Amino acid sequence: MPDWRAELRERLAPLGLRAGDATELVEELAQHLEQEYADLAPRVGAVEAQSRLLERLTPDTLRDVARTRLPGRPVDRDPSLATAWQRLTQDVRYAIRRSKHRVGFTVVAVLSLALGIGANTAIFSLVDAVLLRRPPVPHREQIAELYERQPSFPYTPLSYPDYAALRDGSNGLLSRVSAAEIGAVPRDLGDHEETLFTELVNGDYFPLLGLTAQAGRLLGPEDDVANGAHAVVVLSNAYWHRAFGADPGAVGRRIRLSGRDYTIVGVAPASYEGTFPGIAPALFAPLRMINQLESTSTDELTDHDNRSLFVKVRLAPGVSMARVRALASTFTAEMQRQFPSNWTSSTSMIVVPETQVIVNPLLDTIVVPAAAALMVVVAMVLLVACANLASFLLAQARDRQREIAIRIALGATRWSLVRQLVVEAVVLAGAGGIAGVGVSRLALGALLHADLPLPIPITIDARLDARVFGFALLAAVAAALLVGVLPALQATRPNVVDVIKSENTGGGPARRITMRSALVVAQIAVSLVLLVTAGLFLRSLKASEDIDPGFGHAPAGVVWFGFPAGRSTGPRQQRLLDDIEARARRIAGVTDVGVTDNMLLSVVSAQIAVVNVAGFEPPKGEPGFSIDYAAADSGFFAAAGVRLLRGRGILASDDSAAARIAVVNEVMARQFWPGTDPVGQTFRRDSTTYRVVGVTQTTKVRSLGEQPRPFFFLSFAQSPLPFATIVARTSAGRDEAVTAQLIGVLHDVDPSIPVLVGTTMARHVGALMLPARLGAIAFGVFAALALALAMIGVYGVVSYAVARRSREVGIRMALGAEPNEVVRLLMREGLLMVGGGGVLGLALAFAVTRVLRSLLSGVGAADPLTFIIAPAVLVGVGIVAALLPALRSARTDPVRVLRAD
Amino acid sequence: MWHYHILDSPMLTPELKKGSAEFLVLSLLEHQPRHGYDLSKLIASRSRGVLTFHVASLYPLLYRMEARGWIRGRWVEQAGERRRRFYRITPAGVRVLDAQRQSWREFVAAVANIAADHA
Repeated sequence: MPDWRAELRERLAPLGLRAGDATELVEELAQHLEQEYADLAPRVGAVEAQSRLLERLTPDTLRDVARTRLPGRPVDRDPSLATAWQRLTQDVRYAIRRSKHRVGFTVVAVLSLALGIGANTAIFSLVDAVLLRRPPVPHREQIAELYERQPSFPYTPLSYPDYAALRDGSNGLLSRVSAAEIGAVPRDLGDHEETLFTELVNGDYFPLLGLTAQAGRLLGPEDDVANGAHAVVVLSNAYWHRAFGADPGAVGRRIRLSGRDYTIVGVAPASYEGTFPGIAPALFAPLRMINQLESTSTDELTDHDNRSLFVKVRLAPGVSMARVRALASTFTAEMQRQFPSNWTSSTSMIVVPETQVIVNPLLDTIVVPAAAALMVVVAMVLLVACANLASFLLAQARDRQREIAIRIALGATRWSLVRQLVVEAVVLAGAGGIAGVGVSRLALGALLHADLPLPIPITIDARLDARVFGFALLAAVAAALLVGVLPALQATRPNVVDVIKSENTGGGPARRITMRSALVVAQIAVSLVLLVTAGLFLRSLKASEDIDPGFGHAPAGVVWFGFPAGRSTGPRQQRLLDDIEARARRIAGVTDVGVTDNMLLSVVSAQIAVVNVAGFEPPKGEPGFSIDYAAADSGFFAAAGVRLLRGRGILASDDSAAARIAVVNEVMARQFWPGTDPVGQTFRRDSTTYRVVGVTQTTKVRSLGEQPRPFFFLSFAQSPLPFATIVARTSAGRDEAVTAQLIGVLHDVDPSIPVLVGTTMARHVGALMLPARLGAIAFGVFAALALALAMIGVYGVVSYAVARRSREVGIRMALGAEPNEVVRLLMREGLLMVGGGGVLGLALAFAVTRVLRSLLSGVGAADPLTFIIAPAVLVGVGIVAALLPALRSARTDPVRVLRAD
Repeated sequence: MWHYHILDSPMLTPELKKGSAEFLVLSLLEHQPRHGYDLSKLIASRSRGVLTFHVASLYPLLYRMEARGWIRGRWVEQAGERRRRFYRITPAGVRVLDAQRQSWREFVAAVANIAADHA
C-alpha cells in the first residue's frame, strides 16, 4: 500500500499551505485514496491501481482542491512569477511521471523525435560549417569575384599576368584587388616532411577582407613588393593550434618550407578558414614566393597559361557593380588585342558580386541545391515524426476526454489543461532533442570519419556550437508545438455534455477522426516524395556505376606527389623518377608502374591545349581546337589499363632529346583523320609539332557522364611538370597495401618528396560517384525512416478504428458476415488514406524533384520507373499496415465482443 | 439532431452541466450524511457509470457546495474506527435540491414536448 499521505504532502507542498490547513485536507483525501486503492487493486493489480490513482493527482487538480477547500489562502493569491515557475515545474514533474507510466509510447515518441531532430541537427551543422558560417567581412556588397568565362569552363580563375594587368588597369574604380592560389608546400620537420595546404596571397588579400590578426600581423602590401623577396608566412588558427599549441611565442619563429626558412609573422583570426570552406589552409604565404615554394619549371608569375588565381576586387567608394562590369569588358577587349592566343573571342571576363557567392560560383550550382534538398528532406522526416506523434496524442486525448470534460465542468481552466498537455509534449520533445543532439553527433562522426573516396582531404569543422545547439532547440520547440498544441486544443474543447453522455468511451463527432486521418495522409504524401527522391538517387547511382570509364578496371595503387626543389626538371627529375619506378616495380604483387601529370577523371586538375591540324579551320574566333591532354610515361597505359588500338604507346626513348610524339584517342583520330591511318599524322601546339604514333581507346576524361571527347597523351619526359601521379597495377585486394608501400618508396627515395594524395584506382574512380552514392544512402535512409513512421500512423488509425468498431464487427459477424468482408470494411479507411496520400505525394514529388535535376546523372527527374515503383512500394507497405489490425479483428469471437458490452 | 441542438444551446447547458453533479450530491445526502468515498461510489453506481468522480474532481465540488452553505462537512469519530469527515445537507441545501428537482422536471417536460412535436 502506497503512503498516500506522503504523496499528497509532497504534491501539496509547492502550494505553500499552512501546516494546519494541509493536515485536514491530506487526511481526507488520503482516506479516500486508500479506500479506492483497496477496491481497485484486486481488480487491476497493485501497480496499475497505484499508477491510475497517482495519475489523477495532477498539480492542477490539487490546486483546484486546495483552492475550493481553503478560499483566500496563499494558493488563491494572484500567481506571481515564482508561483508560475512552481506550476511549470509541477507540470514538468507530472509529465515525466506520466511518461514513465506509458513506457512504450514514450520510447517510440522520444526515439522518433530523436531521429527527426538528430537528422536535422546533423545536416544543419554540415550546412552551417560549409555554407552559412561566414568570416566577418565588412561591406560584402562592395566585393566582387572575377573569372574568365571560356567555352570549356564557365568560371576559370585568372593567370598572374592577367591579374597584374587588371590591377594596373583598374583606373581607380577598384580600391583593392586580391589574388589567391591554393598550393601544397612541403615543410621540413627535420626527420620528415609534412605537406601543408597553403594559400598564396597577394598584398591586398587580407586588407580587402578587412581582417585583423589574432597574434602578430597579417600579410599586406609590404609583403608584395618583389618576386622571391618575402620569406614570411601567417599561420591559420587551426595550424597554430595543431602545430604550435596556440603558443603566442610562435610569432617570430622560423619554419623551413621547400628548403628555405620563413619567418612566422602572425596568426590569422579564428573566424577565417581561407577562401574555400572545407579546404582549410595551414599557412598563408606571399604570392610573390610561389616560384620558391612550389619549385616549378616555369615562372608562374609570368605564365599566361597557368590560370589558378582566384581574384576578388573591392569597389572604390561610390562605384557601382555596373561600372565594374563595364571595366571587365574593356579589359577583355584589351587582352584579346594584346594576347589573342590566350584571350580568344569566346573568352570574356565575368563579375560575380560576392553577395551572390556562397562557396564558389561553380561549386554553388551543385552544393547549394544539394544542401537545400537535404535540409528539406530532413525537415520532412521531422514533420512526419511530429504528425505521427500528434495523431497518437490525438487518439489518447480522445480517450482522456471524459476526465478532462469533468475537470472543466468543475472549474479547471481550459488554459491550465492545455498548458499541461503542451508541457507533456515539450517534455517529450526535450528528451527527443537531447537524444537528437546525440544522434547528430554520432551521424556526423560516422560521416566525417567515414573512409570516403574524396579527391583531396577535406576538413569540415562541424562542431556543436551555440548556433547548432540553438538550431536543435528550435527544432525541438517546433516539434513540441506541432505535436502538442493540436491534440491539447482538441481534447479540451468545452463540449462536456456530449462526452459525459456518450456511452462508448471516446465516441464523438467524426471530425476528430478526419483530423487524425489528415495527419496520416500528409505523412504518406511526404514519405512518397522521399521514396521517389531516394529512387531517383538510386537510379542515378546505378547509371553512374554502369558507365565504363574506359580505364582503371584493374586494382592499382595511386599516389599524387611532387618533385622536390632542384629535381623538378630535366635529367635530375628523370633520374629520380626512374629510381622511384624501379623501386615501385619491386613491390610484391605489382605488375606495371607508370606516371602521368594529369590523372584521367581527376576532379581537381584539368589540362587543355590549343592545337591546330592541317586542313582544319578552328571554330570561329578561336586560334585552334581546345583539347584535353595529359603527359604519361612508358608504363602508364599498362598500369592504368588504357588500351592501345593502333600503332605504339609512349616509349622510354621518347625523351626530351627525341622528336615530339603524341598518342591520340579514337574520338580525336576520327575527328581529324577520318578514313585514314592517324599514325604518322601531325598536329601543332604553339610552335611545336607532334607526330601521332598511336591510338588509344576513348576514356572518360572529366566526368563519367560526359560525351566521348577528344584527348591525347604526350610523353612525360618531353613535357615535364613538377607534379606526377604514379600508378602501380596489382592484383585484387592488394591495392590498399600497394598504395601504402608506394608512399613508403617515395619517402625512402627522398623524405622531402611531398605526398599530396594516396589512394587506389577504385577510390579514384569512386570519387566521381560519391555525390550519387551519398545521395542514394542519405535519401534512402530518410525515406525508409519516413515510410516506417507513416506506416505506424496507418497501423495506428486502423487499429483505432478496429477498437472503436469492435461491437459493430461483432454484430456483423454474428449476423453471418464473412471475415473477408469485415477485413475489407475495416481496411477501407486505411487504404483510402494510403490512396489519398499517394496521389498527393505523387503531385508533390513531380514538383519537388525538378529541383534535384542538377544532382542527378543518367536519369531524368521524372524517371517513369521510379514514379511507378515508389508508389507501388508505398501501396504494398500500406496494405500490410492496414491489413494486420483488420485481420486481428476479423479473427475475434463475436460472442465475446458482444458479451463484453 | 434537434435534440442535440437544444442540449448544446448556450442558454441551457452551463446550468445543466454544473447542476447535474451538484444535484446528484444533494439528493444522495438528502436522507443521511455520507463521507466522500461513499459519495463517489454511489454516484458511479446510480449513474450506471456515466458519471465518475475521483479525488481530483469530487472534493472541489464538495468544498464549493460547502462554501455556498448547501452542505456541511464535520469530522466524526466512531467507536473502533478512524475519524472521518462526513457531509450532511443543510436547510439551504434542501431548498436548492427542491428548486433543482423542479427545474429538471420542467426541462424533461420541455424536451418531451419538443420530441413529441418532431416525432
